[in-house]
Amino acid sequence: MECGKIKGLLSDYIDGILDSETKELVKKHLLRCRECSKELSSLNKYLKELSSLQKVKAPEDFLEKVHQRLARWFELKRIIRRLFVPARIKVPWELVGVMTTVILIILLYNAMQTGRKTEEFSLVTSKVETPQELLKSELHEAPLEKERSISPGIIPEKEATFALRGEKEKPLEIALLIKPGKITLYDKGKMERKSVSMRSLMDAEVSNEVQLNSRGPVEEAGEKKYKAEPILSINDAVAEVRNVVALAGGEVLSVEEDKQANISESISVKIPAKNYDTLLKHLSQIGNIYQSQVISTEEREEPVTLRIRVMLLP
Amino acid sequence: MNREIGKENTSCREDRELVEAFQANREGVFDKLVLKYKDKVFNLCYRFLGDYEEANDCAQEVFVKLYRSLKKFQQKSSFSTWLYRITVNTCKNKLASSEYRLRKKMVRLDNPIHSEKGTYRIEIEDETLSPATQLDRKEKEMLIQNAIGSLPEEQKMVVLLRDVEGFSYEKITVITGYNIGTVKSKLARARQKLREKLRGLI
Repeated sequence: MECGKIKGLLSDYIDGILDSETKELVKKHLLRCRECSKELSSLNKYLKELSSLQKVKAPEDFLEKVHQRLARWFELKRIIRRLFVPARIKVPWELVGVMTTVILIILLYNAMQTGRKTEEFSLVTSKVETPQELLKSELHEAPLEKERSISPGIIPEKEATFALRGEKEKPLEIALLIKPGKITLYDKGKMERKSVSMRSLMDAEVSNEVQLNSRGPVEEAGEKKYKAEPILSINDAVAEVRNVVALAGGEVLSVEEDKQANISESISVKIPAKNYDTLLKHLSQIGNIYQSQVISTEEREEPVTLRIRVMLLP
Repeated sequence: MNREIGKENTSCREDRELVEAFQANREGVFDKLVLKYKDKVFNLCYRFLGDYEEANDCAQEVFVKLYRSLKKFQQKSSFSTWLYRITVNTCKNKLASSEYRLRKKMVRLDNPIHSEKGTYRIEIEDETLSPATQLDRKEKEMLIQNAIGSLPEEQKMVVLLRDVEGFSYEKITVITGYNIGTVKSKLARARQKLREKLRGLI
C-alpha cells in the first residue's frame, strides 16, 4: 500500500477503529516504512499534547452566577405570566370568540351596505347630466330631494303623504319636461288644445289671433279661452303650470327652487281627485309627463296632493 | 480501562438518580449537577470560544438551559451526553451571534491604537515556530488554543470532543448529530491541519 494511503489511515489506526485486515496492513507497512512511522509518532505526540491541555476551571462564584441568572429568568417568566394571564376568573374564551366574530360580521355587513348606498348615490349624481335623466332619477331616488334649496319666503310643504285604502303612500310626483319655444292654447269649454309652433305663433301675432303680452284666461269671442306665450324660461313654465292647475280647479301650495334653479323647479299642488285626470291632460299639453306612480281616482273623495317637477329641455 | 468504564457507569447511575430527583422536585439536586459538571462544561466552552469571559457567560447559559429543559429530559441518552450536546449548541450559537463577532473583530494596523479604553498593541501571530524556541507551558497552550480556534467550526468541535475531552466516537455522534463516517473524516482533516499549524512546536 502506498504511503499516502497509509498516512490517511493513521488517524483511524491510532484511535483503534480500523477493521482487523486494514489494521494488519498498516501495521506491516509501518514496520518497513520509516517516514510513515515518523508520521505516526508525530500524531501520537500531537494527541498527547492536546489531551494534556490544562483543564480550565470555572470561577469560584460560578454556581452563584447561575442562580442569579435563574432568578432573572424566573422574574421574566413571572412578568410574562402577569401580562398575559392577569384575570383570576375563568374567561369563557369560546364565547368571547363567537361574540367577536358576530360583531365583526355585523360591522362588515353595515360597512358593505353603506358602501353600496354611496356607490349608488354617486352613480346617480354623476349620471344625471341631462334634464330628462335628472327628472327620471328624481322620480325614483329620494337622496336628490335633500339637495334642493328652498327659496326664501316660500314655506315648503311637508312631505306630502296621504292615506289610500288605509295605507301610507309616498307623495305623488310628476315630472314635466317642456321644450322651450312652444305655446299652448286651452279651451276651457271643450278642453281642446291647440298647439302652435313658433312660426305659426308669429303668424298669429300678425293676424292678432292671440295676444302675446298676457298670460292667463281672457275672454275671446264669448268663451273663456286660455292662451299662452311661448315658454322660454323656467318662470314661464311655472306660470304655465300654475295656469293649468287653476284651470283644473287645483291649488298651488308652494314652489320650490331646485339646485338647478334655472332649468327646473318643483311645484306642490293640491287638486280635487275628480280633476286629477284633467290636470294630467292639461299638463301633457305643455310637455311630456312622467308619473312616479299611477293612482286610481274613481272612488277617491279626498283631494290629491302632488309635486310637479317642471324642467326645461335644452 | 475496566476501572475507567466502571467509574463512568457509576457516574451515569448517579446522574440518572439526580435527574429523577430533580424531576421529583427535590431541592438542591440541581446544584449538585452544576457542581459536578461546571468545570467540564466550562473547559469545553473555553476551548471552543478561546476566551475566559465568553466561556463563563456561555457556561452559565448552558446551565440555565439545562434547568429549563431538565424536567422534560427522558434519559434516552446519558445525562452527560445530553449536557455536552447543549454545551456545543450554545457555543455554536455564541460564535454565530453578531455581538460575539463584533467583540472579536481583529485590528490589523501596524501602529498601536489609542482609544478611550486605552492603547491596544497589535499582536502578530508567528505561525512558523523555530524548534529552538523555548516556550513555557503557558505559551505553548496559548499557541495550541489559537491553532484550535483557527479551525472551521465543525472540525474544531470534533477535535475538542475527541482529542481534548477524549470522548468515544459513539458519544461524539450523539453530541454533534453527525454519523460516524463524517466524524472520522472531519477528525482526520482537523488533526492534519493542527499538526501543520503546530509544526516545530510538537
